[in-house]
Amino acid sequence: MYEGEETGYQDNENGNKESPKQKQRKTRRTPSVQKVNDPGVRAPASYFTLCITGQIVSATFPLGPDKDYIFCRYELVAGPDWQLASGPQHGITQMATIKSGHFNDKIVFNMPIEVSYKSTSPFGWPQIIVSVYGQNGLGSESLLGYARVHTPVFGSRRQDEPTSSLSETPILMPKCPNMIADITSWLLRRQPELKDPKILLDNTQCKGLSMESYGTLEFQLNTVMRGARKLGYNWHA
Amino acid sequence: MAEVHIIGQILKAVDFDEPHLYCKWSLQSGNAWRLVQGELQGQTHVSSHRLQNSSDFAQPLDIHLCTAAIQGWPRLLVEVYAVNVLQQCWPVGYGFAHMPSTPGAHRLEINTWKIAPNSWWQSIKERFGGGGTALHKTDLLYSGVERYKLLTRSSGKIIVELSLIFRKFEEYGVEFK
Repeated sequence: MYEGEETGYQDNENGNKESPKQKQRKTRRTPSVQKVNDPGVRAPASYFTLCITGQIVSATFPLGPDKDYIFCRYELVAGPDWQLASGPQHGITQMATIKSGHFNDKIVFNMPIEVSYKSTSPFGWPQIIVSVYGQNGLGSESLLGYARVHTPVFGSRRQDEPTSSLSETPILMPKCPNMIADITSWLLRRQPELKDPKILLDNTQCKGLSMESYGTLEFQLNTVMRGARKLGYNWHA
Repeated sequence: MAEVHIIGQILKAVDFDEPHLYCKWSLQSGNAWRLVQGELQGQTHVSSHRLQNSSDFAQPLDIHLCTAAIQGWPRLLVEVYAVNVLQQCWPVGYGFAHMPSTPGAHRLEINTWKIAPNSWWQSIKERFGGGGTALHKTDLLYSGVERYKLLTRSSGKIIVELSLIFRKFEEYGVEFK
């Protein structure tokens, strides 16, 4: 097996120029790799699993939504180390309305979110990004805004906090970049939309974007984690 | 090496006078700290609220640092800028806060300050001409060395929600209780 590993490295080196000293360094490292490949030794698990359960509870607009029928589309986004183990990564809620109620009522979705992830590092902690759309009667749908939230890192919101167990996130609607776009959008009755709502999750791409916040989206999320303490992570004080 | 994960968001800015604001943030730490994954600085979008006098950013922070020493504990610097109709922007708040030193979920409220106008002409410029004076060297934000030369006025607050995860600190003898 020792010989096999050496030739393996040499195949990779065809394209690279490498000094004989570096080649020596590589072959010196192979004995430790051989130990882990030994079937007698049990390799420790190097990933932890995270199970996220919860729901998109409702959307609240202080002066009523701009449209009659509201629905949301949610998507779960995580970093490169994360792998979706089970559950749907995106979904669309039902169409909800408050036409026959008070204009100030919260619009209840009660949309379940149940996913589980496997990962080797907490970097790229999963986030949920929701696009809220509205429709007037049988007209076309237009965007009402975007909301994003991190899935809870420490289980769920703690009971001793003065705020409720819901996490309320603002709904952000993109504004038109200049006056001509403003007039066009008013004439055609279409709101501007982001081509890819995931740029709201990226720190480097938000520059120059102009948003207006109106309304809040409430989530109730819990997480259960397994295997993180063995990897040395100090999850609680 | 011990590792620190900072996961959270810059939630909103409240109590500022101007409606359209954006925030430039950066995370600074000592020489022993190194960035493993994530970004150490960023800029939010311009935000305003339709009804209240606050600005919601909801900008996610996800930073992975590794360290060999406790000195130079990381701090978050924020600079809040206001934008007017003519697309001019000027700073309306400077502030910083150290990262909390215990793991768990924290809510930081960073109180910010801005430079007070020196003369009546400067105060008129601040109101109508697209902003007052700005700091020339931004290292005055976190160092206390030359602060006595400044004349400042209080500004609004930035609310940041963070969750901190530490790793392998016990191996190096650091205890959290």
